[in-house]
Amino acid sequence: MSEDHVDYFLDIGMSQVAINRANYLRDLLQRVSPSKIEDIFISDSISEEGIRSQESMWCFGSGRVTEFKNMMTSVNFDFMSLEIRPVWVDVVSQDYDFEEVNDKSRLVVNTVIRHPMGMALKATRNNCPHLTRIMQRWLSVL
Amino acid sequence: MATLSTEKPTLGNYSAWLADTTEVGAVKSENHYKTVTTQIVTQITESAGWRALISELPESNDAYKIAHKSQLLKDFKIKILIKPYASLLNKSYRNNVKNNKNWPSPPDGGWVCAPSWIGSFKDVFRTTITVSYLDGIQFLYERIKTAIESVGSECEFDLNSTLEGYYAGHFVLKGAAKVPDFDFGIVSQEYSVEIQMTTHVKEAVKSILHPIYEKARLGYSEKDWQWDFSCDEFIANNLGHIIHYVEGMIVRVRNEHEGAKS
Repeated sequence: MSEDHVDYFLDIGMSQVAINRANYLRDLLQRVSPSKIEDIFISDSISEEGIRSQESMWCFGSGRVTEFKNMMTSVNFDFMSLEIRPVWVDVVSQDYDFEEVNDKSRLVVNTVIRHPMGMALKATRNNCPHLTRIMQRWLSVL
Repeated sequence: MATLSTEKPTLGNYSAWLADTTEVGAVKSENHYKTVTTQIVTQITESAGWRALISELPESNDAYKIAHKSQLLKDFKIKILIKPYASLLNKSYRNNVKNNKNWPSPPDGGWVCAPSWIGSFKDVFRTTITVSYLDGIQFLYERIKTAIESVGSECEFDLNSTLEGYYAGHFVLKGAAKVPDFDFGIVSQEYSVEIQMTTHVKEAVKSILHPIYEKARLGYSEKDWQWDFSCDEFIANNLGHIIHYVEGMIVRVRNEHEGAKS
């Protein structure tokens, strides 16, 4: 795992246990498909009590994306080609103006790459700018 | 020191008796207690042991989630509660008078009184951590203990169970704080923070049945509750046992289910 990814994990408040889990899944992926992982995004959510939880881990690179679903509780992943541009991207923002974030900031990006396949990415607080960057880099329709 | 009377004071006149016996005025004693305990809470929250404990909660939650596909905790916020002065007085009454085998002489270890009584009780500072499943209590304890000891702090753990249906883990974090004494000097005061570890279900039931527990604690009920199904204690205490049994069964079934799947 590159230092950039660890910095990202720490930045979005992942525990050391969760970081170890992400590293473990990354290693599994490398065994199955040893191509370069250029970007990682963690979908997260926050409970009513304020507990931030990680849901899916998305690994981008080599013209495809791999989703580890329910990353903390299962090993279940799928691949999707990103060789073609998405046909549709839906962005829902709450308390986030694509510059400043606060505790209530949320960002949800739904996209269809090739019907009916797509992605549902969501971010909270300071994970919103990371999702914005992912969207700009990997999900541009232009 | 005033001459001791052999007649035991009641709880009602205990404060005056204590002031007379220890020659520390009741108002002075209460003010000192409130000042010192507030200062100690600040120092506890800044201590390495407490910070290690707080940092460990999300780690333990994630570790439990990986192990059992379930959240261990609903909340990472823990607030330290200070024992009200009246409760402290009540507890010292039980030590100094009610349960004092040496009466009218002081109990073993001397009179429990200001300013040292903060260190005499484990629950002057207390809080509660609630977990989702019964096995989460020991799971969390093991991890917190490791975290606290790794920063050189001291702690104790005990799994409590009583005939009255009380089941909980009692985790005690120990330390020392710098506080003012009666002469405005600074002294080191040892403290304990009692962290009651229980389950969400037990905590919910406890809050409902608290008046019954309180009545029993004050010793107002001398009934043989185990056979008197008409008394409140019969319901409250047996409910504690039943819930503990059900929570144990839930964990057992879950573990068997997890074992069958793996």
